[in-house]
Amino acid sequence: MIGLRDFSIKNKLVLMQVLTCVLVLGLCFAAFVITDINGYKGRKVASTISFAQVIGSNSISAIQFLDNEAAEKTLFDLQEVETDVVNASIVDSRGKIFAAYTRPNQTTHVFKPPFRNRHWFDDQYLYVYKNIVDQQGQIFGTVCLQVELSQLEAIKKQKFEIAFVLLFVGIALAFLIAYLNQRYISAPILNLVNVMKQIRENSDYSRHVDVIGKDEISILSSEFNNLMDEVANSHRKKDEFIGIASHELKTPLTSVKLYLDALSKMKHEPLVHTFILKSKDGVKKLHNLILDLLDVSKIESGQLQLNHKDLSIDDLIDECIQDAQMNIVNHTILREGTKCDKIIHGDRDRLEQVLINLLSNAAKYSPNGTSIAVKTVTSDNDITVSVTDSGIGIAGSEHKKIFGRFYRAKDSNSVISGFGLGLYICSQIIKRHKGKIGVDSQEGKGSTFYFTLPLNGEQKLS
Amino acid sequence: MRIKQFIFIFLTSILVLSNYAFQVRQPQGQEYNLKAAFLYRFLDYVEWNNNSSWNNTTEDPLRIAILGESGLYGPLMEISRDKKAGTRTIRVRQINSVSEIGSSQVIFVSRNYKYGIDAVLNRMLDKPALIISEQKGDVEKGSHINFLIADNKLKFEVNLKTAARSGIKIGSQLLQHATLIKK
Ligand SMILES: Nc1ncnc2c1ncn2[C@@H]1O[C@H](COP(=O)(O)OP(=O)(O)OP(=O)(O)O)[C@@H](O)[C@H]1O
Ligand SMILES: [Mg+2]
Repeated sequence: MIGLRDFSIKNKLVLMQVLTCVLVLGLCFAAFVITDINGYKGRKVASTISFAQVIGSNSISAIQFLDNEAAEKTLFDLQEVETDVVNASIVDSRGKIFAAYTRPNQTTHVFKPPFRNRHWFDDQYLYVYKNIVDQQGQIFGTVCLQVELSQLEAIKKQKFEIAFVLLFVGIALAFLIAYLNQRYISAPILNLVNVMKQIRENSDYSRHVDVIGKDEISILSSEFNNLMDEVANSHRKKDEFIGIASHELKTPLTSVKLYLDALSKMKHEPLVHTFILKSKDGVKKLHNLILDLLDVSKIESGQLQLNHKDLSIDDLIDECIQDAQMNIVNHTILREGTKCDKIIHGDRDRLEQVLINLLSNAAKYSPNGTSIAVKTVTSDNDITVSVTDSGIGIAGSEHKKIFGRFYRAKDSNSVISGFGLGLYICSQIIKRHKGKIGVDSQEGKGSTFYFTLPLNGEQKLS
Repeated sequence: MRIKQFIFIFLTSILVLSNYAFQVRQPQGQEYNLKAAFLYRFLDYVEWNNNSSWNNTTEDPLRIAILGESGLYGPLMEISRDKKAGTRTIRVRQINSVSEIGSSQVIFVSRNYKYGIDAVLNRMLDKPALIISEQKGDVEKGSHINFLIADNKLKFEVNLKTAARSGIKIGSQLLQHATLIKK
């Protein structure tokens, strides 16, 4: 069973309008048909009574002179004029049949007393009794008629046909109007829903819904816009705070880092030395985190500056692998496949940041002792760099989300530390290079992260 | 002479008897009731048009003369007592001779009137009186309306020619019920 609530507003509106139309039209037609049938009956009664009157006055003399034949001839002649007559009788003043006529092939009807002026209907016939009266008011007898309502069926049929056609047209028109009308109601709602969806997907809180008119939907839309303004505002404040905080944290941390570097180069007792190295490690992590936060706040405020230069992809990859391998001690990073010999235009430091990020993720989310493969694939227009590990993998439903800010896949949350910023920064950098970033992965079966960069104005290295 | 007288008495008694028998066989009271009713209704359809004093609308009574003994007298008297011909009262008279006709507008010639229709016609020649008779062949002779019985029903025939000559117009409503119309 489908309840009314399961219909869309659009369908409800159309349904309502069509139902109203059917109801109103139906009532109108019932009224029309009834008045029409009553009108026909009324006219039939009037014409039959005057017809009986004519028969009566034409047969006064026949009754006076007891001339049955003449009366029967009168009946016969007149029924040719009024063809609906089935049975006709002239009854004399004592109630005896004086003359009678029955249409051929019809059953004879015996008219029953009282013979006074009256008329009534049964299923098919109209019965009329009309007294025969002379000028002095003397009653000579009664004309009795049984008349077929021949046109009643035809009238009914015709009315019902018209009713049906008009009802159909009415419904079609109502449907059309309702359909056109509903756009003013459901279309803005659907539009609102669309914008909401886009905002949720792109986290672009600056988007506004168009507000047209002054109805309830317009109020809803403008309230929604206000709400989004609020949200955007609080986001901006948060970003500002992150920017300021990370900046303020970075300065003292940098000096701590320098002093620790200096300290670690001096000669100490072995225990002190290990402590210093541990502190250095922690500070380095903190420093990287603050750098990430700074990057994020730069990206958010649109201040991420790129320094574009021609650079060799092969060199970039080799250098990154070397750098990464220094920090990643438990995994082997391999360059697989052939070198590509391609030059691209881009910010070397930032692209290095992307690749290092992908490599460190690969190491972070795969068991010790496994290897990580870096590969390049070139096509006419672009070059794709991929990093493959054989780690825990990522569920399909999270593939899109992991590139968002502060997002971490559910499994990794507790065991492995992180902020959820690495992939976000990567995706923003690649975006600024007009490239694409993505992942191929299944849970438990390792992951391949890749990014594609366009090769505009490419040259081959000789 | 005696024998002659005897034969005469015998014959008349037979005649009277047979007449009586005939009267018994025919429901004569019924017959004259109908004839009276017919005659009364004829008045509605007949116009005397050549002399205004005979006209239906005058205040004078309408006079009906019954020539000869007739069963019509009783029923007709009854009708004349409570009905009118248009606005005129009806006066019925029984006469035995044409000389008594006077200014009667309607003359009913009984079959008992022994001189028959001819005597009346000779006397009334073109005078404006409606002559009604009840013997076979009378309409051919010139009676305006003649009653007859056919199929056990009372009928009548009309002689339009002699009626017109007497200045009498017989309405078509009446004519349509006549068994025979002489023109
Ligand atoms: N190679 C990988 N294998 C499995 N899961 C991965 C891999 N790389 C990223 N992820 C998932 O994507 C999430 C987001 O990665 P991201 O690099 O943005 O954050 P993070 O590594 O958790 O923290 P950090 O900010 O320190 O990089 C991770 O939390 C992890 O769940
Ligand atoms: Mg990471």
